Amino acid sequence: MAELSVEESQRLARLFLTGLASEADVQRLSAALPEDQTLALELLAQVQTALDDVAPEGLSKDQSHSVSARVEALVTPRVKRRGLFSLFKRLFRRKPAPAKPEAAPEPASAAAPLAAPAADAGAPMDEGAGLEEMAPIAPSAVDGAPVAPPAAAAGEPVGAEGRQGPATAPAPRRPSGPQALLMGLAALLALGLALWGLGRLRHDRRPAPAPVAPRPAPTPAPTPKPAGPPRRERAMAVSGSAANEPLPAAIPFITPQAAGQLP
Amino acid sequence: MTDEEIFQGAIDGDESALQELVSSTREHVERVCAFFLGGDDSLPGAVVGTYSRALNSLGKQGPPSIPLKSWLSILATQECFPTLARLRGDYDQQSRQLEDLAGKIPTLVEISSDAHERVNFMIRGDIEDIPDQHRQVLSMAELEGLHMLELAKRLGCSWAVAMNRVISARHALSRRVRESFGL
Repeated sequence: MAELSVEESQRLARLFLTGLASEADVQRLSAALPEDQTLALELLAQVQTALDDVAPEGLSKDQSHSVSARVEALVTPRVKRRGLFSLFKRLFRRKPAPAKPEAAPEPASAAAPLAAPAADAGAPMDEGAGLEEMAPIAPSAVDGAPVAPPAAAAGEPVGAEGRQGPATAPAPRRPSGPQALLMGLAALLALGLALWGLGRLRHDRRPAPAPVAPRPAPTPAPTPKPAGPPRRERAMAVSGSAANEPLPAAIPFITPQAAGQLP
Repeated sequence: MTDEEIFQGAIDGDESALQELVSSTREHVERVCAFFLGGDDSLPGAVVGTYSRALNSLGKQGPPSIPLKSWLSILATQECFPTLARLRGDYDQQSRQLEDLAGKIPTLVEISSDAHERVNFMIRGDIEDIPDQHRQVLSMAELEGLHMLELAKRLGCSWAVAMNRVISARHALSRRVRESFGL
């Protein structure tokens, strides 16, 4: 039904509220009211004016508790559960940058948001909420443009990005279905690569088994340094097991006196 | 939160936005509903129904283009209206019953051929015999000719309560007339 003119709205509202409306007037009012916001406001305005803007008694205490519970029951099923997806989103959410007069491209920190969709998109989504939730972060990753919406920069509460903020905040572009799917796959791949790389790094950095500490060999009496024994034999002379065995007298670089002092 | 943030957050299922939608407007919605239905048993249902309308509308039609409280005022009025229309229907039906009743009283039929005028005479003749609380209301509504908005203001009550009180008073009168004339 077409909206009524302002004069007609006022007339119908007045007739109805005073109890003077005909049956046809009431029917017309009933038919127009669901669509005609002006008519509803007119009804309210006339009642308010008639009562000098003093509202009659409202809900009693018991009624108020009952209404609270019933409204809560209305709201609760509409709350979308936030799981792992939300956790990732919060972890990788960029801190709001201070508002700058000139939009300068962000340096290295601009890479940070890229990690967010990568981590987020791999997480399971609930009830198709992913597209809406991805939107605030995704544009920076897709477009490569610095994203610092004024609303976010102004210290907006967590979870407020992407909503209709002040007029200066551009509405975030939401990825289309296939685009979001591709982003998700890419993010999953990136996450897998990162985990694989992390595993490799840990493997490479694993320390070699600690060598058994050699027992100190008995120090031989100072002897004049012989001229160049083979390096391998010299190493054997100080290695653990070799040092504990009696040395053969035939070793050329040990003098007979020194050999006599050995156990 | 701005209104736009509340709207969008509520659409997205954001818990804080949904809570804000209710907590920041609850008093306002109650007040709007109270102008129409304050003191009536249907008031709690109207408040709940307003939020139900709001949440359904957000889900189906998206965010409105008007401020949150104005939008809820409209929804609250729309939610209250069926109760008002029902009361209005009860009032009209009762008027017809009173006219029928007055038409069965020979004296009144002799005095006037106008049904409405006969009812008026009937009220004048028996108003002293009904309880005080009904007499006062019936006197203002039927004899002084106050309309419902004036009556609500005079009684300091909502439109629905004023209408209910007139209906109750006329019912008491009707019972008294039936008893008197054995109808």
